[in-house]
Amino acid sequence: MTGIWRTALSPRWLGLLVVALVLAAVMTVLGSWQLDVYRSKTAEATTARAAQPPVPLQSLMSVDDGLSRKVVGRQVSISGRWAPAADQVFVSDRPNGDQPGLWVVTPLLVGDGSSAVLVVRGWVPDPSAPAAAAPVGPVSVVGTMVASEAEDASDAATRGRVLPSLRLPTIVGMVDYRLYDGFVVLSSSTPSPAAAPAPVEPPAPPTDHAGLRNIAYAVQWWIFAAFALFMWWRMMTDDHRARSAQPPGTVSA
Amino acid sequence: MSTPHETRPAVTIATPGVAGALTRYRVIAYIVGVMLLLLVFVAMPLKYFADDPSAMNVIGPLHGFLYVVYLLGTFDLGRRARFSLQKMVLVALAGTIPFLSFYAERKLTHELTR
Repeated sequence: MTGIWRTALSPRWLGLLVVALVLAAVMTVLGSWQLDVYRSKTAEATTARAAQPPVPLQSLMSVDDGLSRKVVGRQVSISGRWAPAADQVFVSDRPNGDQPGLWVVTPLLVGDGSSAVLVVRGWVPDPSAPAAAAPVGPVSVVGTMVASEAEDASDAATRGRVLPSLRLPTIVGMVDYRLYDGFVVLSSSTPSPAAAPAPVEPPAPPTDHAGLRNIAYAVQWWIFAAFALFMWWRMMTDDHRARSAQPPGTVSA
Repeated sequence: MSTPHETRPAVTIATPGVAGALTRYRVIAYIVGVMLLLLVFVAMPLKYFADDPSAMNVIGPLHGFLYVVYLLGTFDLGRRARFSLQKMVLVALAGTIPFLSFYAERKLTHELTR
């Protein structure tokens, strides 16, 4: 009995073991990354993000960035000036309790005015309500970052400034400055207007079971990692058996 | 059948265990090939162009687990049919590229049954 270690520690199988270990390590890291993605999608993660103190929006993302999942639900502060009243839009079919009404969305120009953040100022019963009047001048706001809604909730078409859903692509074509990817649901503004729309709750981020997909991917990466090591072991023992079976002198390298 | 340089014994469908392993490999190769086409040409466009991840949520993980079975099938056949390590890796990777698993399946079947 020459011992399986002699085969295992031969240069060929030692080299392949290093390759298998590197592959397994990379796959383990990829699995952990998928697990992280899953964790960032859970309700607890969303709650934890919402509990953090507000930070300037520009410290989390620029106007060039897509909205990161880690920014959704964060409280952000923004300083700038309200866009012209003509740029304000409404989102239809947004009841407040049992009262029908709309959300009023006003762009807030930031920096040199070439880009803006869309601010959901709140709920109004109709577009002509006093609270719906677009505010003017410089302002600092704090609010919750939410993602653009995935698709139109109703079949209603856009009528003038009244939109069927809180959807960024619809608004991008209506203004002549760049827009940040996402909406800020207003919690407070300084100065605050005399007649303010009723505050609204930020909509919960969609989950669509996507988190389970990431769990499955994480497990798969770990199976691949184990498989790389298993394959090395089986092929090495096969080789060992073949060498042991051959009479000395006829062993081919 | 074997070239003068070949030191490995010739393996054909008649070698014990190879026929069964080949059949198992062919079945899973076909399934994974079809799933990969669904993933790349249906689920991915739906997710990234139409913003609808529901097909991806089902086909993505399903394809992943079936690919694990494909790896097992490849490894099992490879051991029985004495594939070189390089050939084993290439056949395994063929399962990740659209259409290539169908080619690999045909080629292996042809090699072993001629």
